[in-house]
Amino acid sequence: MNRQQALALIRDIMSAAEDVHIRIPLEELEAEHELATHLGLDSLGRIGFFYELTDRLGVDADEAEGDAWKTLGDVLDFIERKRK
Amino acid sequence: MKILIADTSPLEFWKFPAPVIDKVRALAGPDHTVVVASTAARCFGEARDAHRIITYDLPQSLFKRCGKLEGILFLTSQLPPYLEGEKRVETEGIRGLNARSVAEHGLFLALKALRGEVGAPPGEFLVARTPEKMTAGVVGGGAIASHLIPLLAPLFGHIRVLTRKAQGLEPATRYPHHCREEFFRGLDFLFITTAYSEETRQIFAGDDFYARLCAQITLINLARGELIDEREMVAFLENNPSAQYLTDVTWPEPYPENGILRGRRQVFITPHIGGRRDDIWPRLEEKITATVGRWVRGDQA
Repeated sequence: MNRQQALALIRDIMSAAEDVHIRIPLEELEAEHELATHLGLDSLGRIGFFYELTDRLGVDADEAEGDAWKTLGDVLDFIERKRK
Repeated sequence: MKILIADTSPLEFWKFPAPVIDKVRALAGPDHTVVVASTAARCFGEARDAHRIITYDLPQSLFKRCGKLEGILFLTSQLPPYLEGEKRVETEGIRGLNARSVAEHGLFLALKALRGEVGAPPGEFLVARTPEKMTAGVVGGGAIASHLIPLLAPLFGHIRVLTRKAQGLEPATRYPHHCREEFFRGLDFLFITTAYSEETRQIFAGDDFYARLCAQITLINLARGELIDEREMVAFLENNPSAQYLTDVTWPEPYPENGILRGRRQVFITPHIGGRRDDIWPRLEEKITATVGRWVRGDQA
């Protein structure tokens, strides 16, 4: 999965998951966006997103990994690692 | 029984006071476990085998993973929409507990706007406006509205309320939702007090909403930041320099320093302090101890 596909997966999760909401249009998502300040995800929202993502990827991961994400780039790196 | 206290609020005031946690532990006694999680990650780990949770929020993705969950006490008025119709788990909130405080905050914001503090250069004031010639509208007919309307009544000439209720909320004039257009027409002040749902979000979305507003309207949001698309709000304010937006709620919270509402002359933000009054924690403590006591005794709600 390349970064564009990973970004598309993130957009899909954010549009489909009932409790993962962001405050900017999905088409404007960029790797530099901070999850808290730009997207509006608080710590619980970020972990909720983490679970939705790991479900989609079909992988197990420690919640602390999701808690440590600061930017969308960190999420893309995580997807890249898990998809290798 | 394992009771999880999700103490994850980033706001100091809403962190569980030690005496409240001690009371929960005392009620639980040696036969039950009480775990306090102060980070989201710990909360998620501990929730998986918890039987009861006391929390401000519970994402659906976590709820799905709580295989042993029997009950949740939300320290919020509104329960998450995904729990509507949920039968497996007993849920309750604190509906109305801090409504009076939130209503008073609405009055405070209204007076700030009326007395010319909002929209003026720092340290200066605009000429005060005359509320008895104005019409105020309240969206939502719940606990906050029922406290807010009597506070607004001595000030404003007319008060309308958009509600499903067929009676009450006097002296406001009730408008059912199918009369929304008439409700919004000519409003000088609009107070948002409604619960958040996909349906209520639509009330405040897009041209359908903004095209109905007067150019000089003052909007006061006491409900949820997510109800207002801040980009749409900024566009409206830029097109209507006499309009104002005063809000106690933003998305996210705390509101970021680089948020697009920051630094705008027509905007005034308070950091979600509407429900923060000095009697709230004693009342929350009463609710928490009553609920935990019931859980320990095995009584139904």
